[in-house]
Amino acid sequence: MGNFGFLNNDICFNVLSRLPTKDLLRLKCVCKLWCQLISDRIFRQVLSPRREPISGFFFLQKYHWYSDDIRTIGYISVERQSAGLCQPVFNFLPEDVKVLASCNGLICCRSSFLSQDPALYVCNPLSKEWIRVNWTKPDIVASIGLACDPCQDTTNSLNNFKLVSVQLVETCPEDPYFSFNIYSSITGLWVKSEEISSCGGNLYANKVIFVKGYLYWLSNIAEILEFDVENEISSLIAIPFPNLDMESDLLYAPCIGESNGQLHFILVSDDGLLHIWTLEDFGWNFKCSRSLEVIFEEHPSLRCKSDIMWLTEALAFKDGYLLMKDCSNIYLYNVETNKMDKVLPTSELHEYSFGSCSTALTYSMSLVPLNSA
Amino acid sequence: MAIMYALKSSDNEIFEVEQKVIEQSETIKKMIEDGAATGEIPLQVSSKTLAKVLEWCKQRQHKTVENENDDNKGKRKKERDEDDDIKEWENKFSDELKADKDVLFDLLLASNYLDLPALLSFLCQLVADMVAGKMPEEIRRMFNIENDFTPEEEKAITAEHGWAFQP
Repeated sequence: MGNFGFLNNDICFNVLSRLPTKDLLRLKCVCKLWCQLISDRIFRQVLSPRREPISGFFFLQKYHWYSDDIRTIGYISVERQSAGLCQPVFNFLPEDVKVLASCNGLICCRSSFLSQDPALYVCNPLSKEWIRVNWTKPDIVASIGLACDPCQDTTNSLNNFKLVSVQLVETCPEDPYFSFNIYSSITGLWVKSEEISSCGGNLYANKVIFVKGYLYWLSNIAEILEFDVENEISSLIAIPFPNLDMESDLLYAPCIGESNGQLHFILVSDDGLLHIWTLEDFGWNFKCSRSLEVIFEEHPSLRCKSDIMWLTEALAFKDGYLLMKDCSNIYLYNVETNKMDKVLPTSELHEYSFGSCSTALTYSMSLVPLNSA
Repeated sequence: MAIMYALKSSDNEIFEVEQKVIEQSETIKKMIEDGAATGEIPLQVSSKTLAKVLEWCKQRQHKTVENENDDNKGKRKKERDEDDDIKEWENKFSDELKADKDVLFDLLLASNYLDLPALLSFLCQLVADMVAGKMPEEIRRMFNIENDFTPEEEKAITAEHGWAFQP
């Protein structure tokens, strides 16, 4: 019988490097040699330029009316929705955190505001490596984006990342603007960008994503703030609208996400329709509309008739997977296959779920190495 | 007339092979260029494995020659048909190797030793496909790998990624 032990490490390395990260975690249990190879920094460095598909979502909640954080963060796996909310995830960090942004396997968190000395952390929750980033002027309303692209990183020596903190400046109340502070992992410093952007609204916390060199923040005034991280140029993109009665206001919660390297805009309108657009070179391209009622009819086991349609919220989207929440359940919907699954009942979320709002961040597993603090 | 070389397997069997076929091996190509390849070329590869290596090389050679002779007209359809033929041949080749893992591992080592990048890559992908989605215990059984962890150590590795672990 063939014996793997006869093969040299180069061949094992070659074989293992062809497997997705989720398989590699399990394969660490095969034998000590495999465990050693998979944990090796060089192996992980070689792997890091791969595009990993979505693995799941980090799910977090916040009180509606208080600035306090709810300190539990759960993980929802795309492949094992039945497992519900897995916890804990970030207990390897030295304090309680709130998750701010997720990008190619790295996560940016901040101290919970009960902390004496608030800081930002960038970590890889799989390898449990983390970096503490100085946060000289902690700002609860600053919206922080994480930009890290190992596929584009030509230096290949470090997995560089940048943090972009956007602050609303209201020195002149008639003319508020956004300013950008950029932290680079190479220099270890925050530098204020000369770029500013006019914008009347606020940015949604946790609704920031990174697509092909650009960070996008969703704002509450129907605009998306775009920031070219390399060249420090910002612009505003008006969100697309379905043909709706505009008097009905934005009662529904939209979300932005990435699929096939494109920015997607998704919203569930109050007539129970799910609308999806993609951002092309020429502007928004309407992709499709789906009736939630029809989707539920096709999945009769998922909910009872008494539920009210318009309360459905689009939480997060990536690689064709949309996480949605209504008053009774959290659902995972695959836009490509039109398949919907129930992840868990809303009532199981948290003892404080009443009076709290939820956000979710997409997560793609990666063993991308990070220099430990 | 094609230049022929004689390859000698570790169990002293002689294989007569065209230069073009065997030059796919960077190791042998270098031996030929260095003038080290006179008479029989002795290789640390068994005759059973060497036969498989040559089967692969001849198939690849066949493909390259045909592509060179093609004109553009009708090429697309022909390429498609050929792709189907190659796929079919590769599937058969893979199935044989999956059934006999001794040969598979010998071939992996031989492709590494002879420096045949295309074959090495093909075989590594084959093994990766065999491993994907399998449980550690299945993989150990399939490839005769000894579990050198204590149950406690194994448990600790699983627990390390508790939230992300997919059994």
